[in-house]
Amino acid sequence: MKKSTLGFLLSAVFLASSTLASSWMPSNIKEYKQSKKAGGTNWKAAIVYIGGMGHGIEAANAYLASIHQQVTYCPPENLVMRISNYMDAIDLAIKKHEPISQDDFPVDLVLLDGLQELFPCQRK
Amino acid sequence: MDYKNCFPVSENRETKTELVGDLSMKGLVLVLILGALLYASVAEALDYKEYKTAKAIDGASWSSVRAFVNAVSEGFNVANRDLAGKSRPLLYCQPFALNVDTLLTILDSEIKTMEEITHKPLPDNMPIGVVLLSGMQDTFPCKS
Repeated sequence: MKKSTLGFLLSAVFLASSTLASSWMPSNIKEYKQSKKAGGTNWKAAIVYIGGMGHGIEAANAYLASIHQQVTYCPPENLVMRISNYMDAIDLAIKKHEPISQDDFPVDLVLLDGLQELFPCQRK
Repeated sequence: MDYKNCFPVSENRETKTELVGDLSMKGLVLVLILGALLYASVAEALDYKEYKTAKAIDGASWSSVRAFVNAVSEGFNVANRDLAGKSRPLLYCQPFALNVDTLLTILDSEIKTMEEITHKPLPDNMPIGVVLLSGMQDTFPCKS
């Protein structure tokens, strides 16, 4: 097989697997935990999904702040939110409610709960 | 919140659009490497420059962007549910679920609107989440 043909096939496989991975998302905490443990393409897709959700929540929070409304959670002013912050938030929320299982809980709600737990707003 | 420095853009990505038409072995390898870089950065955040680049390249990068945009709207939805639970005004009032193609139509339309209003191209470092939220608010305003 020619090098160029092999390269093309490998590229096609890589792109196809990445595309498939991108379309997957964990619907609940059970799937989140499973994909985290297994790693691979589903976990990569979960990271994109959680990153997107986190930034959606962050944009909503920034909007509320801009119209002087009470924000949903209060991260430090100079903190640049990263995937690791969102993962920490999810893990914190899971831990907070133990031993109650949150396996059936949607990931988005647990993420928001975790962000509020991780970055609580000081009551004035 | 200042998003200005949240989404660093690699210098390497400048060349991605130019590579689209080059399907030589070298070109494919470069597209794959750049695509992988973009795939990784999409997970952290997404700005307008990355959005444009992924759209031009298509393939896996664009699939990641589509997944990211869909997830951003999920983030809005959960924020909206939280606001509703506290009897507070919603971000916007979306009457039905949207698929990712519709979200992208709203996003592209908002980009155009913002550029028309400001008479300037949308800044490359503009977070896509901010643009999409504005688009959702324009498309689905709440009746007061």
